[in-house]
This record gives sequence, C-alpha cells and structure tokens, in this order.
Amino acid sequence: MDSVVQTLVNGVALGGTYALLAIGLAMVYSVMGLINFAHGELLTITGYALVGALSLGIPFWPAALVGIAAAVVAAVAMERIAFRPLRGASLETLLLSSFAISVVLQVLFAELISTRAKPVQTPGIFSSNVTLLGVSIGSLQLVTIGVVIVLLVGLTVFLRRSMLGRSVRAAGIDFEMARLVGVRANSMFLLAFALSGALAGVAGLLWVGQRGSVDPSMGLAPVIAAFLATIIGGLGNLSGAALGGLLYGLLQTVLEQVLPGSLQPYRDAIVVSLVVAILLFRPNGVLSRGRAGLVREA
Amino acid sequence: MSAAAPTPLLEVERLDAFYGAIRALREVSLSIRRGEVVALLGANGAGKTSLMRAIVGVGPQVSGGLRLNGRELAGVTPEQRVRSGVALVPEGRHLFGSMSIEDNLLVGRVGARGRGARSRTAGLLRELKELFPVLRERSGRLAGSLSGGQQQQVAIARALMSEPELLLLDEPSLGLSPQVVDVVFETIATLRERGMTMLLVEQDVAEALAIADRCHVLASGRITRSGTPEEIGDHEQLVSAYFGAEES
Repeated sequence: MDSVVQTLVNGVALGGTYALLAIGLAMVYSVMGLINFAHGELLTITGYALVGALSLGIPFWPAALVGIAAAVVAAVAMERIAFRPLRGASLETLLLSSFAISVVLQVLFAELISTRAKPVQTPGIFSSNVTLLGVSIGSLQLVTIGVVIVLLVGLTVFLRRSMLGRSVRAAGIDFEMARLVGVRANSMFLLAFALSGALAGVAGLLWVGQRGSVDPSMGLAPVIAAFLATIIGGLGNLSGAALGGLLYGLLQTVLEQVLPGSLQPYRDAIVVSLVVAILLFRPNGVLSRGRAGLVREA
Repeated sequence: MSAAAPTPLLEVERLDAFYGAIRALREVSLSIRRGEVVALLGANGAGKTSLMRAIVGVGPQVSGGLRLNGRELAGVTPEQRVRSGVALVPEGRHLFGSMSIEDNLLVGRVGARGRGARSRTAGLLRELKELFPVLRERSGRLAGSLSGGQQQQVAIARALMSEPELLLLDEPSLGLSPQVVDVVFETIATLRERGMTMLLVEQDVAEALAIADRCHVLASGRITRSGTPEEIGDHEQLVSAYFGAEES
C-alpha cells in the first residue's frame, strides 16, 4: 500500500512538472502557432542562473528567484529576437527555428560553461521525507504538487478573470481583431512568452531539485515529455496540457515500478506507444475541441 | 460674423491606399460631422472595406490625410486609434468565438483606465444588455455558438464598449436573414437616435439609404457620387455610379 501511495505521489509530482512545461509550450502555441522546442533550454537557463547565483553567495531561495527571472528574460528575448520576425511564417519554419535556437543554446552552454554536470546544493526540503498517514513521502514531491496546484489555479484565474488574461486570450484567437478592440496584441504575445518562461523557470527549479545537477542538455527529456503531454491533452486547451502532463508523469512512474528489470530500458518506448494508442482513439487529444489554441479555451 | 464651422469628427483627404502594387483607393476625400450617419455604397471590390481598414489602421499602405478630431492618424497604431475614439464592427463580425459573450464585451473595454472605470464598465454592460437582449439572456455562452444575428449584436456591443466617438460598421447585414437584418438596422437606428456618429458600409442599398444622412458611392477605389439619400437614391444614377460611370 505504501509503495502504491508513494508511486502515485511521485507520478503526480513528475507529471505536475511536465504539466507546467506543457502549459508553457501550449500557451506559446496558442498565441503564435509555434511549438517551441527551445522551451527546454529555459529549464537549463534556470539551472545555470541558479548555479551562478549560488556561486556568488546568494542564499538558495533568492537564487531560485534569479533562476526564474532568467527564464522569463530568456523567453521574452526569444520572442523579440527570434520569433517576432517570423510571425505569420509556416509551422515548419517556426519549428525549425525553435530547433535551431535549442541547438545553439545547448552548444553555447557546452562551450561557454561546461559539458559536465554542475552540482547544485539544494536545501534539506528537497531531499527530506515526511510521513503522512503512515506513509513516507518525499518533501520535494509534496512541494512540487503544491506549487503546481497553486500555479495552475493562479494561471486559470488570471486568464479567465483578469483583463490582461482576457487580452492574452483574445490576441491568441484573432491578433488583428484584438488590436481593433484596443488590445496591445504585441505586448500580449510578449506576456504569453514571459508566462511560459516563468512556468519553465519553476519547472526548472523542481527538475534541478530532483536531479541535483545542471548540464547543457538537461532540458531535452522534459521538453519532449511536455510536448507529448500537450499532444495527449490536445494542443487546444489549458486543461488538456495539464492533464496530459499528469498522465505522462504518472505513466512513466507507474511503469518504472511495475515493469520487470529486463523491460525497464523500454519504459519510454512503451509510454510513447501508449500515447500513440490514445491518439488513435482521440486524434486531437483527450480534451481538444479542435485546433483552437489553449489560451483560447482557458 | 458667422461662427466657424466645427471641426469634422473624421476627415479623409485625398487618401490613396495600396496593397502592394494594387491601388485600392484613389484620392478619396470625405468628412463626417458629429452625430452624422454616412453610408458608403459600392459594388464588391470598390474599396469600401479598404477605406474602413485604412481608418482603423490595419491593412493597406496609405498616403494622404486622415484626421480624427483634427488629429492626424498617420503613424498611430490601431490600438491607439481605438483609444482615440474609433471602433470597427468588421465584416464577418470576428468575435472571439471560444470566449464567452461577456468576455468579448469586457475585452472591448481594455482601454478603459482611471478612476471610475470599473463602475463605468458595469454601467455600460447594463446599458448594452438593455439594448441587446442576447447579452442579457446568454452572457455566459461562447460567442462562437451564437447565430449570425446574435453574433452581429455582440460585435456591435463589443465595439460600443470602448465608448467610441465614431462607429464603423462594415456590412452589418452580410449573411443574415431578412428578419435579422431588420433587427440589426433597428439597433443602428437606435444608436443614431442616441447621437452616435457612424460610417456604414452596406450592400443593402435600401437599408443604407433609409438610415444615412449622407452617402458616398465608391467605384474602383474612387468616390463617384456623393449626396443625401434623396439626391443619390435615383436608381439609374446610382447604378451608373456603382460602375464608376459618373464622377462626383
């Protein structure tokens, strides 16, 4: 029983991290039609900014804020420098550009910092356990679940209830019409990227907390998971991305527990096969209502 | 000594508009005074929508004069133009279909700032719900799920949320059944009674002539005839103006 609860908690925590990334990916897709594969590098930037801040003697939590801020700045810079000039370009062009940014950043990390993993000293809460109803659970997993819930609720309220949130959604649905009702639509694109950067920053911290180190390609695996999560949920809505992330994380964690050792190397292949199976029955994703944008249906 | 004539709300002076090498408007000049309803008539491709889009700052490259309240609009972004008092109800309505009716309206209020903005927004919503029953009955529904006529009402209401001085209506009857067209034009008549200044592009000539104070006929990007509905209503002359046979 204990192991079942632990597995579920671990799965939800991992899935929550994927969900944060998936929502960021889907938000950018929603406003710009771009699947940003450089989104994973925002995690890496968070990690290196955290390492840099810690090396300057900044305490962990302020350093964590520096990491999140770095991800936000990087996301905004991507929009202004790389993606805004390509607005209206084909999906393929945008996709290739995001791959290019991803590769360039990974090379820069490797050349300018190191190809080796940089260890990160995390606070005790990242490695301690708490006992809940007689079951020992990792504090980091509980913190992750709490943070994910707070962020998802906060983001939903922001998008649904605030004027800025409505404006982001309107700009995502119809850029020109949004301008024609007075929305500063360019700023809303920037805001969507900034939000996706902030979510990636938080996900990056949680990811570093689980790994305890930072390396140039640490963003690759989670961004692929997040991409699959958005596909599972349907590129069409916020809840879908969150649900897809949770499902993907749970699948990975449960399979890690139940698969015999000889099949463990095939775990990710099995997960992806299951994703394909889901898409056979729900080609537009579990919650999608079509090719509308995520932000549009928030 | 007679008092100087008030500055027109909108002045268009020798306006040319281009989509690349294609010239959509040729030296178009017109003005709209406060409280007036001006109709733009013309066949498809005559340049009516191009003129609307030029006024709100999207679409064609323009040269020539375009002034709102005496202020030159060149270089002013579409968002700023809305804040300056122009609102467009576009052809095809372009509602934010996956947002609720109420959210569509509230987005139309995005430029409202300062003290009292919130209570004014609430007041406007109340007023518009009086004017448009669909807003009262279905404000939580997704805008995309409404019928064409209901969507047109929401589109007009959304434009009114910015409290415009000048309302541009581009083909408000397009694609609607005759009964629904009547409802839409009743709404436009109500707005006229309330003093709203409007520039109306409309294919339904009879409806447009019935509601406008003055009309301009566009053909091949040029104004070919201008006048009151009575002056312009002669069928043969109107037909020739539609096809550019008559110069204003």
